[in-house]
Amino acid sequence: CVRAPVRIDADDALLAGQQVREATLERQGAWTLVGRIAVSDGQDGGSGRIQWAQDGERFDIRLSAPVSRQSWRLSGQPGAARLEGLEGGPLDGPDAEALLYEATGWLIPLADMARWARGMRGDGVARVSFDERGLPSLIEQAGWAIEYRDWVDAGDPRLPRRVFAERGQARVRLQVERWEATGG
Amino acid sequence: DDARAAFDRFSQDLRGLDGSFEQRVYDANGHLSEHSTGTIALRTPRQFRWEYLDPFPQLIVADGNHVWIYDPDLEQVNVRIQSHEEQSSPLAVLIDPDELERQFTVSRGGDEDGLDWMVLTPRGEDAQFDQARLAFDGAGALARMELDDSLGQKTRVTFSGWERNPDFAADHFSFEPPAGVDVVGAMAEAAEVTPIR
Repeated sequence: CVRAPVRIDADDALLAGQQVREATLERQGAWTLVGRIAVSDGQDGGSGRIQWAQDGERFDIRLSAPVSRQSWRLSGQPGAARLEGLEGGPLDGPDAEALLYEATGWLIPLADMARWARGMRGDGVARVSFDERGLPSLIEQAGWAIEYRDWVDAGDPRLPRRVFAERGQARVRLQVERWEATGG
Repeated sequence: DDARAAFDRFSQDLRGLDGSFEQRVYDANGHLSEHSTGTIALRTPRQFRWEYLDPFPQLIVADGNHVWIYDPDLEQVNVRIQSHEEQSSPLAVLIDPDELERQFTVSRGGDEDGLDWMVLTPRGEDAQFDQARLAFDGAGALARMELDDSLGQKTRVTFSGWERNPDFAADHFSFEPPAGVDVVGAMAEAAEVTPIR
């Protein structure tokens, strides 16, 4: 049976631990995650393999659909993004999130997700509750609820393995198969 | 052309096929990004069941009307209408040989690794891969499939344990969303499936 999630309200000690985690992760600015992602808006959606490489503010995200192996690549940095793999050739735009949404209907809050995926709060106000190990179990921010359903067993700081983010009907669910530290 | 002869023999009187696969996907700079294994089943006219077992479970079932993609870890089912010219995988031509020429231009692909290779180039522009190659072994069985897409991603699949015209379980090519998962995507207007919350 699914264990009920532990939600311990933040106190000074837990928040201090989270700050240490976040500071450590911020220093590790180059990382890659490989896994599966499912996105939906209540009516429609998609799922597939994701390889997300981040190097500071630069990102290189590859998504590929199952069976047909159709793949897209969203790369760039804040202010300059390119989406490749669609019919009609590459698309360029200042905002990666808008580019992906307009071309595929996939809504992924990319800037925040780059931090949420690692169990970090995004910029701005966030409420965090913790599990019994002092790891975030729920972050509420920008209207999103980000649930940490599973963590990678080893590693310091620990990194998430299964992240379910939800805002109204919008859902982004991430299952991480592996993290690669040095930008892959 | 040995490969074409092998294809004709392999697909002759083939109404169903069941076997295992091992899949490796390389990204544009040759980095191995996925290594997975599972089982695959096909049945005329347009049904298939592609089940990833490792490293993560995922089930893809085409029942002839809809294609269901179920991710147990992500608790989501994507469903879409299976359009007739559904070109999700070149394997479909194995059980529908007339489709081979209709959907692809076929050319010889040499005999690398001692296999007979056949190159399939999609005729339509909206195919999701630029080129597919099928390889047949000495016994005339389909041994490998390779797909290259426009972003330089290369999918390499090896097959084993083929069973021809097996008698499948009655529900082998049908799918029922489990309770509690999100069901998203387009169903036919007639068959309304309310997402199970």
